[in-house]
Amino acid sequence: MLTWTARWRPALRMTWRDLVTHKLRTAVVTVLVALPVAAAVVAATMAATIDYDAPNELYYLNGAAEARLEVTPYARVRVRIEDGRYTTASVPKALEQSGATRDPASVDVSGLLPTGSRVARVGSTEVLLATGGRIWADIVDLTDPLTHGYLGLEVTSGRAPTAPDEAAVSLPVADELGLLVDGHLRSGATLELADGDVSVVGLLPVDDDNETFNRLVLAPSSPYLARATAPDITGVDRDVPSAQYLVDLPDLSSQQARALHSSLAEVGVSSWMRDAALHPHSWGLQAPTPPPVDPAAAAVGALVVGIGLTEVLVLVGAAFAVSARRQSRALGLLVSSGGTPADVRRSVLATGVWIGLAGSVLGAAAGGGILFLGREPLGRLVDTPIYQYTVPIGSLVVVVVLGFASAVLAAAVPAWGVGRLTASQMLDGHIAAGRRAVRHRFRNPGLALLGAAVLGLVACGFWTSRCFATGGSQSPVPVLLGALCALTALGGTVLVLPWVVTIVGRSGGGRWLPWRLAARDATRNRARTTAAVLAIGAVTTGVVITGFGLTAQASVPPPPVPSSSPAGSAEVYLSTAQAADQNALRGLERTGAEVAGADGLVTWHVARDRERPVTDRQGGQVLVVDDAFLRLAGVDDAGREAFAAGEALVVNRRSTARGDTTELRIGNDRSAARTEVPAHVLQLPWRPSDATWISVAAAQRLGYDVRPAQTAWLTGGIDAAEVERLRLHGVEVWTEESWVQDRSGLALPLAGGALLLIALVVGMIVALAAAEGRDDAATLSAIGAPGWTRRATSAAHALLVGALGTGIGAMLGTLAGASLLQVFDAPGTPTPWTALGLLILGVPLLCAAVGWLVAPIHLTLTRRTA
Amino acid sequence: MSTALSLVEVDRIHGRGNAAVHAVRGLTVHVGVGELVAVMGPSGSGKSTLLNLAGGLDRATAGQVLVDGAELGELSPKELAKLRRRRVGYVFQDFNLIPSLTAAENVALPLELDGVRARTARGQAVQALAEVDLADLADRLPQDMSGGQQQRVAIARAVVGERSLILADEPTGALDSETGEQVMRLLRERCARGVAALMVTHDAGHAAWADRVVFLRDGAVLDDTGRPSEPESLLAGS
Amino acid sequence: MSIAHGLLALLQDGPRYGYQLRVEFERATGSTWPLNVGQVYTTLARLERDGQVAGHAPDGEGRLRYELTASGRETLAGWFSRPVTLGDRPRDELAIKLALAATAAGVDVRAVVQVQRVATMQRLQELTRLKRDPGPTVSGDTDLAWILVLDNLRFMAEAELRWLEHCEGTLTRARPAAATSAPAPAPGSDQVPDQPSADPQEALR
Repeated sequence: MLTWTARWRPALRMTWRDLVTHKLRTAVVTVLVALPVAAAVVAATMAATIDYDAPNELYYLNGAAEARLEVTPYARVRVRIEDGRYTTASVPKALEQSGATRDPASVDVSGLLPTGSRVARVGSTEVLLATGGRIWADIVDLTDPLTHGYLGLEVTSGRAPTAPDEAAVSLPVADELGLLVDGHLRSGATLELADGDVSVVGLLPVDDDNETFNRLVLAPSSPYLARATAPDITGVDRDVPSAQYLVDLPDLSSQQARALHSSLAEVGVSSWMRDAALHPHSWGLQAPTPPPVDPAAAAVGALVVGIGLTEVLVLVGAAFAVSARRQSRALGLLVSSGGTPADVRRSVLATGVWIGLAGSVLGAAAGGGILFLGREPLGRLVDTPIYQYTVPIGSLVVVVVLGFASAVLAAAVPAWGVGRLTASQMLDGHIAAGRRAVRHRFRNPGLALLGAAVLGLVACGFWTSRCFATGGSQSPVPVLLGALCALTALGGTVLVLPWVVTIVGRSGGGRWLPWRLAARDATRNRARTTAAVLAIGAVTTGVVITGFGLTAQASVPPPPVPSSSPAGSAEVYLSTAQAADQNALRGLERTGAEVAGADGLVTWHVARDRERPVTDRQGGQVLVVDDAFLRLAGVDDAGREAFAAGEALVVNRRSTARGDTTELRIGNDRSAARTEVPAHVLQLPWRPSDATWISVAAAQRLGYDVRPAQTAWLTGGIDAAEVERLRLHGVEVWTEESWVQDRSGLALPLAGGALLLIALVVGMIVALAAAEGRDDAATLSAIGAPGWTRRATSAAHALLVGALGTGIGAMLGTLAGASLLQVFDAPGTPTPWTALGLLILGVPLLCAAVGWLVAPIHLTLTRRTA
Repeated sequence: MSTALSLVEVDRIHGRGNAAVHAVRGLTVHVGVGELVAVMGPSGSGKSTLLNLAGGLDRATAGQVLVDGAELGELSPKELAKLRRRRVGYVFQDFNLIPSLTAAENVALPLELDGVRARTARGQAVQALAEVDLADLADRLPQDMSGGQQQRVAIARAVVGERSLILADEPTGALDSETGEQVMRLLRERCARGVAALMVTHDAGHAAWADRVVFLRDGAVLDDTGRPSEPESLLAGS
Repeated sequence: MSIAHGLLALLQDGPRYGYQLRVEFERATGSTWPLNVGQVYTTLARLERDGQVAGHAPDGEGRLRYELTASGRETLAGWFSRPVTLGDRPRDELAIKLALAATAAGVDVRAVVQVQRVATMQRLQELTRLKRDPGPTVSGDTDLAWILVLDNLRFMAEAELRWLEHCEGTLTRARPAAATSAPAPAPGSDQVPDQPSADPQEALR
């Protein structure tokens, strides 16, 4: 019996040589297979890398450290590992009550760690600025490799601060404060802090959507280190000072790491170990469950994969069919030398095997290259700095195998067709398509499928819009059904297309010779034309669906946010230190006036009874306010009179008993002391959070302490841009003008990519047509047709294919897009009319241009057979 | 003399009913072992059909085709393919060689398809090439060989292994008369070693190299020159 | 072309005996033109009479040697330099036979053609065989002459076959009815016929 290798060897050898001979064709087809493989490799790796479980995520929290320690002020803590990333610590009650604390910074950490360990002190604290604003400072030595990736901090311009009076600030802050010259730090740039100036020596880059836009980095030698508290990651309590260290440990087993973790807790050190995140099972932890899949994303993903796969199958299949036709003579010789039909099929399939191998390996390599070289841009794209990739070996193997399989599958169709030919047909080279009149067997099933799918899409769209309307069931079923319908529509289109191509080719005669030639060629090589039309259709479908997505997203109204401050004012959030510091408050008022033209700052107090909070019947705060506050709040005269008379003002009728008194409580528990006070209910044009307002006199009468509130109002009409600027000055302001994230920046590269893909498809198909039409071209030139005839024919061919493809893409994309994107619960169906129009006009023109450019004008006279 | 190939009362009809075309009708041809038979006839007389039938590339509608005593009509497509790998070799007018394979690989192809190990197959192929004086071109691609060389490689492929029947379709058609004669000489040589050959040709000069010339017309044998007489008798008649 | 020209050409190499001339003549023409000694001596006598050759005195064995005269050389040179014209050749019997068959009623011209084709092909096969396996009589210097003559005969036969093929085509177009109704004259080709029916008379009904 023949061995497997013996059966394939001749076929593999033949096709290998053939592929090597036709280098350009081979390259294009290989790239077609490699592109999706590369994209999938990148996508899969990125998805794995930015996954919550991936080691890359650890960099943000811990830098390159093996462990992070927090030395608490207590001699002993109880620690609990939450999920490998977080450790919470608590203090034994007895210890807490004894009040025995220590200075965390005085503990010798190195002595607690195995030999060979190295520690780097880090910390963070709030720093008050001379502007009265505040800024969060991270105290870290960025020159230490242990801090690599820590909190996403990185100095991209200048250098990391090392001296006590040096600092690095984020770029927008430096810009707003005028520290830049031509985008670089000017020499002698200083930042004025409330306690004195520091010189700015470096700039920190800014991610688009996180809070790093106003940031400060100080060196560990800075005096602020003493004030640093632990961030709320491992800490016991934010307000208690603690010392935090990044630690480089020698190699430890999971067991040893667990032992260290426990022993550290015994001496009051809360620790996190990288080992716990990497090997959760060794720590007795469960790996976190993956987040639920978004149905819309899954549906669109399935559609994209389906379209991409169809694209590859169809395009690569067409290329394989052409090459099978061109080597039909060789196949005939194979048969006459004793090859079985299976041998013939194998020798066509072998093309797929080679291309599949080359394409998937090349694709994987290209994906790897993109990941390696594009670390930074990729990180920006996903808003996560990338320090370490997680390579999902399993997924990559699947991707590579899929790429290989799709190429083999693409070759299977022509292989099957060729295998059925008789030897004399092959020997005569009569495999050319479309010689016979073809009955369109698949037209009616295709039309039926398409019709059903369209109806299904409409139904699913309606259903989806019901499910995803406010208060709907949010069920993913209609969306998934819709995606299925979209794929069915695609399938129906595939079946109907040959017939459509025939109709168009037949009616597209016309008088102009190139156009006539192109139409005839398109009809005669129906399979190839169908492939091209489908490919372009698939790309345009994708573009249209994306367009719908963007339009729908843009048209969704922002959720209504009840205004929590009076008209024309902005809320300012204050830290405890700020609120208590009159200098800071004056500075804030001044900064507000300078930067945003604010009229003034209105502050108030919160009533307390020593350390216990005072609340009203609804649990709202009891605020101690003055008349300026009431004027700004828009309280009417009756209200102010009642206030002046010592009544409490309530903003919620439910806070009152019978509408004329309210009850103030000290403490939160059942044993709270209650005081009945007369109350007046306010009707305000804005919606303050539930609260009861009392005057200073009333507070004194009731015996309450007061403490500055951590909220204030900047008055005088502040817009969103001014809010942004104020934040850079350390003033945390918020207005109702919600900030809509603009994703339209994504549209341009997307459209560019789509156009490139279309150009590639058209170029390839026109080149294929040119390769098959070489004899015709030779005849044409032999009878004296001018050189441009060929170009014009090629352009006409591309135009035909482009117009058909765009039509189909616009149709399918509109249907699928309109249906699937009902999940956004946008009013009506937002249609990207401009984009659609541009697409329908632009793509065919682009195609024609590509066709014109790609057409070879230099004729190589070739033998007519073989 | 035993026969290597027999076609007995063979019909080959394409199509049905009114559209039926008789490519071959009641055709009877025998080729003996070691015999070279030429077939002549106008185009459309069924010459190529005859060759296709003889090698099992096509099936007879009626009648018997026997190769080494095996009735082709009773063989499965796989067995027919096996027959072409082991018994029958084809030589066509041109483009005889698979362009992507070297001369030796082309010759070795039937052996490799038959599962012969690559090294053995190559050895036999080189030997077959040596017999047509082309051993030194074994590793050339067809594009780097002349037409005559290509035909000789094709003949080597047709006889490689133990194959005993060459079916040649205009093997000299694309060659000049000098090269054509070389090819005919080679065919004769193979026949002298016991190979049977059936050759379709337009060229009377090349047909005359055959032991017998069969004239076809309308898919049937019109005439046959039979066993040639002794040369002396010809001269005596003039 | 005559025997006389042939003898003159052979004598150009030097004096020859009559018998010697006969042997060399046959060799040079590839045995396609057998002569008897009588023909040689008659011709030599005529040439001597015309002053083209001169006879030497008989040698000891009574054999007479001839050599070329100046006049003879002149005649020979003239013959070589003059092309052969149509008039020099005998009329082609085959052409005339076909022409007559075409005009005569009741004759299947295609059968006549086919019979001739088989005969001519057999002749061509013989010639080809001669060419491919040179006989023992042929060797040495006369090889070239032999080949030239043989090739001439082969090409003539080929030309005749091509012409006959053409005739058949022409006849098929001219009389398609006859072409289909006429039975093939010698269909019994399953057994190897030892001698084809070369007699054209059989074609006449």
